[in-house]
Amino acid sequence: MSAPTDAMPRPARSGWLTSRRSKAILKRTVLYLLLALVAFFFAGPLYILLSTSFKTMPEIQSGGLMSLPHEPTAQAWVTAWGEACIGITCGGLKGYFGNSMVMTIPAVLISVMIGAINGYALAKWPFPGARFVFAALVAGNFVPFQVVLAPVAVTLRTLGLFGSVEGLVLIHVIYGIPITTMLFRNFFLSVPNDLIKAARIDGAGFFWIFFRIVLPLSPSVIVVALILQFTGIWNDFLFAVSFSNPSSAPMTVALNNLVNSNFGVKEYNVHMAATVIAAAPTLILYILLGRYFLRGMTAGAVKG
Amino acid sequence: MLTKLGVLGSAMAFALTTTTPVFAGTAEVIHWWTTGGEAAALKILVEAYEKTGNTWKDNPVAGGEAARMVARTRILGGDPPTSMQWQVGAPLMALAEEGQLNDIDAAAKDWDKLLPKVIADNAKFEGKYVTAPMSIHGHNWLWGNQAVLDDVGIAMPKTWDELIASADKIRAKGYIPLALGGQSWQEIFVFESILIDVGGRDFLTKVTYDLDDAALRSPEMLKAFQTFAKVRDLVDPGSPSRDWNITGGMLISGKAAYMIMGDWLKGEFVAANKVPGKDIACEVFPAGGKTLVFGTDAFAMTAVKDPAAREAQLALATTIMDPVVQKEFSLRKGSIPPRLDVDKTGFDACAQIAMGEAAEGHLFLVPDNVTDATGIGALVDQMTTFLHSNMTPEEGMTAMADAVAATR
Amino acid sequence: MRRFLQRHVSQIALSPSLALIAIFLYGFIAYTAAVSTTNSKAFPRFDNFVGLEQYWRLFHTPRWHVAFTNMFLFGGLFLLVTISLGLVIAILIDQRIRAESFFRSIVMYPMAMSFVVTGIIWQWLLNPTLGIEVMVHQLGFTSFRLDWLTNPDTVIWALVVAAFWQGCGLVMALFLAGLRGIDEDIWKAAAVDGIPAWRVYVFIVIPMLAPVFLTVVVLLSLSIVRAFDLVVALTNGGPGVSSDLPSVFMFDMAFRRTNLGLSAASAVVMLCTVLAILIPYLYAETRERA
Repeated sequence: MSAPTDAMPRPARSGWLTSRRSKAILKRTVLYLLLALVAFFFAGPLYILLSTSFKTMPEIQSGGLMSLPHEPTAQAWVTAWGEACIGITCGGLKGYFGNSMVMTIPAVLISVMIGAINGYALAKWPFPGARFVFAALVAGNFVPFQVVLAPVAVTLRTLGLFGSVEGLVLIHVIYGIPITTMLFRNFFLSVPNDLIKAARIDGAGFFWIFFRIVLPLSPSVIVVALILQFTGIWNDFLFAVSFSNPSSAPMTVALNNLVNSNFGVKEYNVHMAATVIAAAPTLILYILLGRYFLRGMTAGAVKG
Repeated sequence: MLTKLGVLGSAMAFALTTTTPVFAGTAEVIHWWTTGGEAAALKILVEAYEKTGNTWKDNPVAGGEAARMVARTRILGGDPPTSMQWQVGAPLMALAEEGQLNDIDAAAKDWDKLLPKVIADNAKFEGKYVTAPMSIHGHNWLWGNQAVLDDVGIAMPKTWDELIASADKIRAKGYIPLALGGQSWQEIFVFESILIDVGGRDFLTKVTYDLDDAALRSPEMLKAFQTFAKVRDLVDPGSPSRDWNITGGMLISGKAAYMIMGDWLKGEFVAANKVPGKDIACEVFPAGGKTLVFGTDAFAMTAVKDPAAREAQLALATTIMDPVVQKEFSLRKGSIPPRLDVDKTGFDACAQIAMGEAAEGHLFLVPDNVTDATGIGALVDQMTTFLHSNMTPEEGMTAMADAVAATR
Repeated sequence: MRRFLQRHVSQIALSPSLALIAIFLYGFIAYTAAVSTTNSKAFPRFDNFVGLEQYWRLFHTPRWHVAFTNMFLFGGLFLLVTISLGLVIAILIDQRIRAESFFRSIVMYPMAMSFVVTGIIWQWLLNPTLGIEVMVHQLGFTSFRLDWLTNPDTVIWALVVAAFWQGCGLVMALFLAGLRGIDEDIWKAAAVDGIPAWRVYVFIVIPMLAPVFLTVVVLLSLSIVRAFDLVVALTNGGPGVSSDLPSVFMFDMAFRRTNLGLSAASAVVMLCTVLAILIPYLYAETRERA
């Protein structure tokens, strides 16, 4: 393995390598080799998830994780979606999908909206202390959520929202504010001030400028915020398990019950199918909106 | 319809006559029984319960800690479940002292006579029952793959010295002497059995209940650490962090000769068509220690006020203590019934041994349920740290005693 | 009144969020600090003040020292590996390559996975009887050993690799966006002067990306603080307590050891430590921009 890399920096003697073109070809080859290595590392786990989910249990126990399934079967997927037993109820993950959606969608929309307004206020209507407010928003975020469970429970109880979907949405919105505010603030800093000054001279107000000038400029950062928030809230387990009840429990709770059971035989194929099913909405979102995601970044969304 | 009730008929009759539910209530129950064998056992309870006219609302949360976290958060949020799986003893008292539990004495008139004293004492707060014990599991069991033992030509050891002495013979035949899943909750079973081995039940009490500083620094403790250090060589390199059921597979498939694990391991034998007590030999270890460390599956009753929910709790308590439910439940879970008077037919040889130990008063409640959780936790942390390090027994003993002392 | 509204409209727009954050972050931090001065067990209660006793206890708990050290070890390695490799991968992808969106997607998709799922996947992969080790054995290299999960000295690398796998996509995307925002003229000028590409990156381009580092460091630090799910799913703190992190310690003390006071003390120590490192950095970085 080490020989070719050693030879690379000084290729002077071997004639064909001295020409500029072959040097360029060599560089490209090394580049694509490195990229292939990177792709292998990141894609490998997904391959294993998928291939194992199409195997039978005996095949998994005999063959390890890496081989392709001999006789691919979708049984594990059927089981994970509709039949797997969680406690005494055998309905798979399907009953929890709607719960996750009902919780995630409003929480994402509201927190992104609030973050956009906050970011706009901080970046474009600065006031004395705006920088301190921003720093405080980001810094407070480092509190580990495990320790706020008790006060959150008591607060939700006081508000009469404990165990309800509304309560979960509220919590996700609140703890999403710092991140969305940070994203939007950093993006809006790069929107030229002249645009806003001109509008203000014409007598336009805070919200008029926001909706008519700033928002239309920022579909990309909105997508970034939507994706990050959707991923975070969809994947959350701690708040979900603590503040939901059996009828409002989202997917992560069911997945944990399925995959994390300590006692009993581990059905890896079902677990892996369930894992992919639970992650599917976020994966699809990345594939559909991935282009915008990068564009959002490029537009300066998170350039600090 | 009546024929369908089958063995559960008496459960229903019992429940109907004692509690006479005026209101048909709903019991929402948090538990961590999410896997196949556990769910099969739970179904016995649920079916019997629903025949009392009440409804069971299932709320499974995988993992004991996660389930307890949810239960506690629910209580803080003012929305407690009707009942929840909760250990007896100290953890239960912590809840009761906060006024978070209802007593169920109305359903527990004769429980003092039916339960072993150690369970009855730890299920009561200020003299009143606040939890209903469903089943008990023994922890310090030594299991031996009979085919491997026969091949090596040895019998089940009675003491740790014998076990360690047999290791070379086992290794010579190409087997792993001890299958161990290197997670602290599994390792503590090994450590506890060593404590019994070096100093008997009294020593185990002094160390794990009293966290007695003198005992923690005694010659017996040093001996225990010397034995425990040898465990490092009894296990295979894949041991650290391994799940218990994968580890159990090594015993069942004959890769390893011994394993020390709670009796829920029997569920794995049955799944692999092995008979406990025959294909897999069992022994409360060390033999003659007169100590079976055990944990309880019990359902604590939260401080709900609604009369219908109160009735639902009483009906649940009655159902849990029904002798037929207790028997059928334990047969499926691999546990034994806490009630001493349950019919013993149908239980495997190992369960028979356990029931014998219980009848003779050899039960020893798991230290987690007795001792200050921070103190015993520090002990467990140092126990597992020692096993996964190169510390000498002297160093291990001092580190444990110091860590425990710091929690006082 | 109207003029007041107009002048302070941005403060007014921010005030609901600030009120919520003041309660749900800072209020609850204060609450946690209060609990840490009590002897609370299963439930928080304030009638049993013990002063700083929980902190004394905390600093005499060997396991806390492991967890605290691990936070720096894991955090440092994770930041170092993810930032450096994330930057390198971004630079590779920025070389006008073919199938750019394919490579980009492959690096970015793990971001869609939760830490729980990430932990489970890597536990399977690093499991000596199931995963990569078995595969390499099947290829004929039977002496190969990958014992990260079972060796207390290397287990932290298992956490770093899994966290890197999950977090690299975000870092790569941020850096790639930064690279795309850099003026093309710099490259032209460098080409004219005959400066090698790596020197341009090291001495010109990377310093220009400084603002991106702020976002990256903040987001990755959040992952470090919240790595709880990852540790529980991947190592459960083991072998022994060697891969314990403060968040796991905190959870264990609160929910398994029923010692909320001690748990709160560990949370306060961890928060103060993280902020002591981050606040000067945050302050310096926001100053330049605002």
